[in-house]
Amino acid sequence: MNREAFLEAFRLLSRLDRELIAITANSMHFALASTLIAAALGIPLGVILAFREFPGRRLIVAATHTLMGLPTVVAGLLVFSFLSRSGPLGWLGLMYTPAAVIIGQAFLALPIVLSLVYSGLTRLEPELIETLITLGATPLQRTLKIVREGRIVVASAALTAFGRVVGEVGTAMMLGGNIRWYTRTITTAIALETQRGAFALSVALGVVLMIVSFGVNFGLNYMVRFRTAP
Amino acid sequence: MTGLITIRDLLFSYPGSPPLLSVKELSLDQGRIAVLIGDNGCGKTTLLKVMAGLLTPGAGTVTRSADPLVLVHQKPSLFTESVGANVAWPLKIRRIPRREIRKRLDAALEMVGLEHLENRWAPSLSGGEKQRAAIARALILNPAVLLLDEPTSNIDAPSVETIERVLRVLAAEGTTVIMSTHNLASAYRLADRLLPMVRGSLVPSHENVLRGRALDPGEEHIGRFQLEEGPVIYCPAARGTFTRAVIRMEDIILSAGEMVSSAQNHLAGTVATVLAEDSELVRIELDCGFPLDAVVTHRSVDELELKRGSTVYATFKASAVALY
Amino acid sequence: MRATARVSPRFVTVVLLTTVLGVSGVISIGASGRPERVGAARLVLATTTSTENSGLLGALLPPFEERNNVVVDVIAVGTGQALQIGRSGDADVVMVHAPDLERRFVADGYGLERVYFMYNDFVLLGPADDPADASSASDAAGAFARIAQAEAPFISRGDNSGTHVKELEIWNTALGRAAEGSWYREIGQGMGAVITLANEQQAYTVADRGTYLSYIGAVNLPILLEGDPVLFNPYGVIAVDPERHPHVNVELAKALIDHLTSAEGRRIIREYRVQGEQLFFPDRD
Repeated sequence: MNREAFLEAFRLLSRLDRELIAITANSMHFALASTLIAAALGIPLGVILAFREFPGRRLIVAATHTLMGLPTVVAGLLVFSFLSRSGPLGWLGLMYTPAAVIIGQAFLALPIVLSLVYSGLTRLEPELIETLITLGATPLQRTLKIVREGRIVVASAALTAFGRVVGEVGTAMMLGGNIRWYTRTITTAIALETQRGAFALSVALGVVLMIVSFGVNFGLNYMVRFRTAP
Repeated sequence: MTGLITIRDLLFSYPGSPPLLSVKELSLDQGRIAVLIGDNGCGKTTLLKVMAGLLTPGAGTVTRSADPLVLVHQKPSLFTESVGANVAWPLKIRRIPRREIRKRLDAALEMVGLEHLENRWAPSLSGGEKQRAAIARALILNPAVLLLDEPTSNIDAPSVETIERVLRVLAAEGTTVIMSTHNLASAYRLADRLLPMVRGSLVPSHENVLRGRALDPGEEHIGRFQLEEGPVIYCPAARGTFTRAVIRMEDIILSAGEMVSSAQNHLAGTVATVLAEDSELVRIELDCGFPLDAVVTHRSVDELELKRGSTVYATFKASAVALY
Repeated sequence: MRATARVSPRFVTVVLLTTVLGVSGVISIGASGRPERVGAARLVLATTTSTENSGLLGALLPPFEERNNVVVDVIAVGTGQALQIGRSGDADVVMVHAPDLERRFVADGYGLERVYFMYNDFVLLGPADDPADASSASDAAGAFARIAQAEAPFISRGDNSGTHVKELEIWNTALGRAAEGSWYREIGQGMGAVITLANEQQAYTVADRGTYLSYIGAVNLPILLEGDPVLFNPYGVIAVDPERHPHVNVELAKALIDHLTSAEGRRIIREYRVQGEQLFFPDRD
């Protein structure tokens, strides 16, 4: 790698190179969609896990905590075995499409959202739920209020999940196939574009990814500070 | 007669733990203030939660013929939004028209003295303000029964005063108030009925709580307390506003004839009731122009031949009277 | 401090979330980089990194895509994996360079006919000082034998790619067995990673000329041997058998094969240059 590559990288960044934007857009699109799916499933489930007693609850909590560290390639492999034409869901024809990447990343994001929402909400005041009951709230009203009270927890869970999937390469590569314009993301591009000597693009994409990660971490730090403020 | 809340043969325990609560019978009447007192961990909070329906008893029955019934926790647990949004929330979820919410919100905030803090961010309130806001959030529902867990603990004196005033007003308007407290002064000032608890059970109160007012002792070294019913008793000299005189039933000496002693209070009375509490103690309810109870042993009852209608003298020291 | 800390965190959180959602939303929806083609069909081509990374497909595919109103999605992996994707039915057509594996793919009933349409060649790369004196050998097997003799570091793809298969074939000729020893390093990665690693470790390796050319300025690994017929590298293209996988678009797959072997396709292959050098040679030239 040489100095020209870096200069070219900043040239790409400064003139908003079309391919650079397209790859960034794919990354954002996949990470955002998968985070939204994970949030839509994980937030209500997290509330149920935190406040309802039912058989098998502890097992689910333990499993969720374990799956938080699910290696991305394992998630990719799992979803691959379902979505491949030879798999049970092959008839959907989703392999090597954005949908496949989104499903795989949602698999990675769900345990993160679920686990963080669960542990965050259990740290809310135990009196809160009783207060809601005694004030006559219906179960739905209670759930909505709890999520609202735990909004920092919920938002940071979603942001953490977003940060993880936007920077992962395993599922994006295995399920998307790094198809140019279509499923090529920042991470798959960096992993593979370097091989064909496209250093400049890789460097530029690395800068974009770092900016995104920095933004996510800044947001998380900010929210954590807010939450622990007296 | 059954009250608004009636408890019978109640047992409660958390799974795998020894019984926390065992209440044989309790019936609470409308428009009265009942105060649970007792040491930490004696089961006051648990009893309140059972009465509120937040905990299901293991055995026995809890009958509630009142609605709404609201519990205000010791920790006010305000929502992280404005004071006004907090207090109005119970009405908002009931889809009450906005105009009526406005009216009732104003009334509730004014009652607890927080009208000037409606737009404040609730987490930034002081402890006393938080407790008052939590009470306003409950009373905006016009509850038939208001349960409060330690509403006057660890908060500033003006807030305590406000809360006590609010509870009196509510009771006068017909709300049944049940609260727990560590704060004995608060308990004596408020209670129509004291409910002492020991290790999960209600025990009979051994205190006479007499209503009235302390007279200004002036230069005297002994004070006087004017009872509502008319008679005056001697008490320690103390300046200030006192509305309750509390005398432990064990501190009252009963005698067949008039005694000559250092004790300042000698009152002639008639035995109204003789009530065996257990194998050791008997409670004697006297009419001395005002109701006064004493606790004596079975042996004393036999020796004095105490029975309904007997005339006895009750003697107690001025210093046995505590003013609140 | 207090007053601002009370109001602004909420505000900032809202602004922050809105910004993240908004920016990602706008980027992901507004700036879809994929050239739109209304009603375009999709053809999935599983191929090797050498064809995609050299840029050849970028020249070869657009005329075909335009004429047939189709988008060809290229999945660039090693030959072994590309064939596997074809086997599982996740691609419509495969384009690889390992004749033996290709023949088995067809024989096993996964593909229709194997069409040989172009070739390029492999080169032996190594340190400029050539400690094993591999450049003095008359052919590739001889050079490999010298490397093994000297136990000089050698980087192998180790990923069952076409390049890897070719390398194993040469080792077998040179030694009568597979190479082994601490000097022989299988890294299981793509061509680019192998060249980079060989450069870092100043080791020998085999690379396809196309990928090597794209690295020529960045690495200090000269070509030590080239031109041996055994280094000849033929590319085949195979349509996935619709009897095995009924969903595949066999018509378009065949059309693509026709395009690759047409006069136009052969002209594009012949004229494609990287750094002024021709990388691929059409069949029958």
